[in-house]
Amino acid sequence: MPEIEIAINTETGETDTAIKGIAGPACEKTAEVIKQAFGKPTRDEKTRDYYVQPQVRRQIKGK
Amino acid sequence: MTFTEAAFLDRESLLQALAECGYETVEEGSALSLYGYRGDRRAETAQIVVRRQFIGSASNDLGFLKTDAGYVPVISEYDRRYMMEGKFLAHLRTNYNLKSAEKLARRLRGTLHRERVGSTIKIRIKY
Repeated sequence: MPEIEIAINTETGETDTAIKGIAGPACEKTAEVIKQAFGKPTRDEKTRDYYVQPQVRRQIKGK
Repeated sequence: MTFTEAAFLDRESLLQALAECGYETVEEGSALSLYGYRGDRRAETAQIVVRRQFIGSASNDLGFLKTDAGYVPVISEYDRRYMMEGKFLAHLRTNYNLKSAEKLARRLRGTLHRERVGSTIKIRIKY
């Protein structure tokens, strides 16, 4: 299940976000939604999950 | 992603965050004049204003100027140092980001869990 982790530093207001549970560039969609909510990020790094190829299950049906 | 910019993108969340900080009475307009603590009109204008009588006797008007990046605070050096013991912008940003997280959870139709760990508020949105 996809998850967004948010950490707000109450001393400064600085906020870190991380997207978990989405393999590959599909997380870009969620990243856009986060930017619409929080504004322009001052730092944007891709995690290891971004570079993982999503697994595609194939189902072959016989005639 | 890290968010440290001073601009507030969403008007509604900004107004809610101001209310959470104790500033519920705000004025909105296209180019509202800002006044100093002596009643002197300042050069800056803003689209959202908290008048000084709602802040403190020695304070100036607090404004938020709408830009392409969002609403940018127009705050005097004095108020930056003394409003909420110098932590006003941090409190405002914290409250704003909490509202933004709630909005994000609603938009994703997810569930939000929140806990405080020291001076950090940790939020998980599952969707």
